Amino acid sequence: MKKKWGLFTIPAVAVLIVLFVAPQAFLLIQSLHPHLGPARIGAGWTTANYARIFSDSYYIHTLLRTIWLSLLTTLLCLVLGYPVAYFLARTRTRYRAMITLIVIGPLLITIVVRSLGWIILLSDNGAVNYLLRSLRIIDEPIPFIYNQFGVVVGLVHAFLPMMIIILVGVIQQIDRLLEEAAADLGAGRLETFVRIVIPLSLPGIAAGGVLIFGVASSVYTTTVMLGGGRVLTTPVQIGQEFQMTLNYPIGAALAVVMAVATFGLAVFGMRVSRAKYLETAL
Amino acid sequence: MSGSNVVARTCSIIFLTIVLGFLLTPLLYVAFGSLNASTLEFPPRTLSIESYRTIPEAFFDGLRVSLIVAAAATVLATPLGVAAALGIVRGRFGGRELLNGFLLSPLLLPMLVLGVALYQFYVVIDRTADTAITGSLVGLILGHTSFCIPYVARAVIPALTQMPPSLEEAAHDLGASTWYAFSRVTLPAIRPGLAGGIAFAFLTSFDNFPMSLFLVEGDNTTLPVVMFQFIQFDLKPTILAMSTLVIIFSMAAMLFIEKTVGLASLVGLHED
Repeated sequence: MKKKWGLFTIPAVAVLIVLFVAPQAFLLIQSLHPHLGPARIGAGWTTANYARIFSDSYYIHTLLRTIWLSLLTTLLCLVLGYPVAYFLARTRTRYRAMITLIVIGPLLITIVVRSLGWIILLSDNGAVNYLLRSLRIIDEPIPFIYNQFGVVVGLVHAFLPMMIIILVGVIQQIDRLLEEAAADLGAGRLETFVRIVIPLSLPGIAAGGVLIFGVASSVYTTTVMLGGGRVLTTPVQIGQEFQMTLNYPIGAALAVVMAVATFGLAVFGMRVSRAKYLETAL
Repeated sequence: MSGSNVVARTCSIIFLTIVLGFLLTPLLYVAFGSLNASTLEFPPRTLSIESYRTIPEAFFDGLRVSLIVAAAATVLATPLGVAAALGIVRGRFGGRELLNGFLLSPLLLPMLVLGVALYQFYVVIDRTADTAITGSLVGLILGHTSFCIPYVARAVIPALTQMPPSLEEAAHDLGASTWYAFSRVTLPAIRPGLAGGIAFAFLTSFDNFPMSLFLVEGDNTTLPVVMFQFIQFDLKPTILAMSTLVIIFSMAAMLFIEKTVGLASLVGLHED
């Protein structure tokens, strides 16, 4: 009995063409029209919006700030996440499942609540400043939030679980026998870790880094909440163009650039690694 | 065990504790802070559950909208996602890989971009067809459906791949109709993956902020957006009470997913 199973994909494809492809295509078209004033779009075609976001220093600086914050986030996630991932990949402890739950758990709680947690924790009269003051390390509260520091803390908190999941996959691909061989030849745990495990996981680290960098650079919520409007990144700028200045063509051009970059980085990250675990992570 | 190994082991335990503490602290602090009756200051002067009694009506309205949207989007996305997964796993046609990539591609774009694009698109549809999708519950549900479809499909595809196609063929040979064979043979076989995918799609919709922000309007505002607005303008302990309830709800859902399919296989690398 032969069935045309392929036809089963048609409904989902049709729905996605209407709800996903068409709006994106419309965004692209919008980005190629001139801006005539708030919420008004001209009829002619132009590439001026793209020319402007790549020449106007206001947009370029924002883009560079976005790249810098995402890079910093990615590096911190790597440094904090790698040892945890190594532990999870190799441990035989019975607490492994519980630790995995703690790592992944925060991912399923809305980012608004997670960011709120950091806001009250790091505010002037929050627990961290209280602790530092009662230990007499500081006299005046340190402004931890509504600046780049707060944003990076929030971003690292948001993406550390993802980085750990990716790295666990990377490390599990490494043959355990290699580590045992190193140990047999007299290498200590640390030496094995530094000279065997880390070099062998470099390709996976690179791919995971690219993926995390891509998603971190497109974050809106965390930056708005922990940046308090004072940290301007490209996603925040897109929000402003659509909600405040109502310059839709510029907003659309920024959105198209960000979509292409995020999509490209994700596909690139998966291709480079050619590893299944990254696809399941996405 | 040599001395250096003991040092390495101790260091790794300390490091692990710090990282896990970092991940958990803001959430525990929200729950702790919700017991602080009057201010958000640390340390709290009095402990009470007063903030739970004064949760504003607007939060429950937002919760109701969020639950409706998440349920409706999941109900719409589930048959579409399952059918697409069947087509991709069992179909024998060129470009299956490409189609698979296409189905999952909404997850590779920033939610913010999906949100602004849909918003602009709705405005144009409303203007040309004289409809009222912008700011409506329907518009919100359809938007969420677009990213729930890939979540469901992604959860079901591995389950279908593992299932031998001969099982369903055997049912057919024994005279079962297509639907009967599907519901009695295939569905039970993919149930764990499906349940996990549905739960994950529901939760992702329930959590969503960046897309909803551009699609909500007036009474149709979801809980994360209501909370965001309160945090921006009126940060009070009562928001911590609502946040704590959200954390408890999400944790319960997480345990459900963990029991059904296992979390790690499903977690999306999606920006928030």
